[in-house]
Amino acid sequence: MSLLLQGTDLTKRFVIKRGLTPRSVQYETAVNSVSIDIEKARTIAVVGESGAGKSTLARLLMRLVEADSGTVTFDGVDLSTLGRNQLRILRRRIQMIFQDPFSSLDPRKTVGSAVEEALLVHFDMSRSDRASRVAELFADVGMNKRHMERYPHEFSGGQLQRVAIARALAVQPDVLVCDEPVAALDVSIRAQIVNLLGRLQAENGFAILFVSHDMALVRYIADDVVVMKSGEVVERGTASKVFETPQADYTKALLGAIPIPDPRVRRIVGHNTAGAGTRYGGGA
Amino acid sequence: MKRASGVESRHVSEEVVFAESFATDVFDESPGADGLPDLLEVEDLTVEIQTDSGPRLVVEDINFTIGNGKTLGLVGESGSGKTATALAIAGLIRPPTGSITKGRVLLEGRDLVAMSERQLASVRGLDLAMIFQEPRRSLDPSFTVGAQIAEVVRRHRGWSRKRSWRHAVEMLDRVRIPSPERRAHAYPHMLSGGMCQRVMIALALSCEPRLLIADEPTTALDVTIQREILKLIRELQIEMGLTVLFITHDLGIVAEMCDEVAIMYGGQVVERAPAMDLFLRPAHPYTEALLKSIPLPQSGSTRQELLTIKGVPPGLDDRPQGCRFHPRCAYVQSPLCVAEVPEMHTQALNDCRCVRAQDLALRGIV
Repeated sequence: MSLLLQGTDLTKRFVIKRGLTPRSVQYETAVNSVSIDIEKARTIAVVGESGAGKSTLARLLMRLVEADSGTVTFDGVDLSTLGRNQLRILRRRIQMIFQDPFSSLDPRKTVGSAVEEALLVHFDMSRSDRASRVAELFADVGMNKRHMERYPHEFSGGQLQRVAIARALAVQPDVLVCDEPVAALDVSIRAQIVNLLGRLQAENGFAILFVSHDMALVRYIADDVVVMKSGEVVERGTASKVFETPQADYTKALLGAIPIPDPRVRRIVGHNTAGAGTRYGGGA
Repeated sequence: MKRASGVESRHVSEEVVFAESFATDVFDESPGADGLPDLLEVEDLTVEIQTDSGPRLVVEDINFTIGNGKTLGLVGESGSGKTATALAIAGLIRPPTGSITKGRVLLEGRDLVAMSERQLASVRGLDLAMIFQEPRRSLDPSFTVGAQIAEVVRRHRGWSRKRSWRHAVEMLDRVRIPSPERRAHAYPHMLSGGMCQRVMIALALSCEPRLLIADEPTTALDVTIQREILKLIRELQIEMGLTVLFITHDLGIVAEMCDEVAIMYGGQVVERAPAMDLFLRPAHPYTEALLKSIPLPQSGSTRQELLTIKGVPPGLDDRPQGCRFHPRCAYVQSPLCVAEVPEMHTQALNDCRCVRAQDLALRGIV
């Protein structure tokens, strides 16, 4: 267990209503005094419903959003003390992929050059080295050379998410932050992307911070789970502990609300409920 | 068009019958077993839409029926044609966007495809209602939710303003919105997504339709809210004897909600079966693959690999020859599967479009 990225007592308030006097300004606390440890080569999932503050937490850890209080340290360095240039150098080691790959890739650039750009910014490589590295990355994410010359609109969502992963991994990050990476994808494609992330993690040893509202999916990929509600952590622990013996009522409610793909365990409206609700230790 | 009172009373008595049959035997999987005809029959439905590169068939030869008071789940990935099917049933696909080129849609024996726009307008809302994924987009932001429900009732039933408003408040109460009298004066932006979906349901059910088409009604909602909405739909279905066509990509919701399931792929229904048979004994390789690729929330250990389906679902322009699923199928056999589009045929208790179905021993959930 070695600590890589650590957030301590992070708090972020957003202004929801401006006013003339300081007292008339209204705030919403998106993240309230949250601490999180991201360890090398492990996957930690942050789960919760919309508005729980999980995406804000991810952005605080990357310093894409400045915290009102609390600290973020990466490999022992306090990120808040870093200037722009130092931060940029460090950012190479923390990469991110988003829910909608269409809006995270430039429509006027071929996907090959989008991946190459990451190399151009962060490394001093010759043109031919870059080209062969890009080809290698495309192969890693299950795409081929022909794809490199195409534009984002020529791809499906799943393929674009592969490109986004290739671009993020181009700079050999230590942490990959994934904000709902499969929420917008079709069922049959989700499994492909999730397995791809798992395989690449096993090969390259990066840590994954996986932000998701999909509890069933998280169970398949996470080592550790943090459950958030209204900006606060209500439960945390190893995935098996959180899923098998949830402690917080909110975690139980979340788990109990997942529709189970098995018609023998129908629980809605409480008809034929023999054995229902017990699978998660008494869910809702 | 006002409904004859004789028809009205028949409905009431039927509702009582369904409510009872639901209460005692919700798991009766065979539609029509109660001796009543199917409420909705879709026969050979084929829909063409106009695209930039010419006309394309979005759905082909769709066949299914829904028994009175039952729920059919229409399942598919993006581009499979599930929403186009729903829109066609509701008579919402018409030139210049597209047209129904073949088939019939029988609602209580009346063919909706053959109806004029005017006749259809009275069927929609009165006999058939729809709810969609994004409730806020289906509500008018500039009117209170009470006024929107009252307007529908006034238009379809010809009631007075006062009576319609009272009915609107009553409907909000029926969908379990707290303090409905006050909430009737709220504008959509003042309500949460879950509340808006309740309002949409109140609106859809305000004229006591026989058929409710629900197109991914909970996809945009949080999981705990989703559960409340699904529960509400289920309860109202029992109360009102509703028949539901439930469109979703979530097999968990299908398992919780549906009596029968039709799986769509590439514009066709590839398998159709009672829910229990479909999940436990799938007959089509696509169904089997779908069941394997979803994470099971109750599975014991963490960090397992999910099984995947290679490739991507076909778009409108690249639907393959023969079986639509053959390029992604684990059991494909050339040239058998590539030669022609397989006919729908019965395999045990399921109907499926797979020429190899009888040779395969497919596995469902365990």
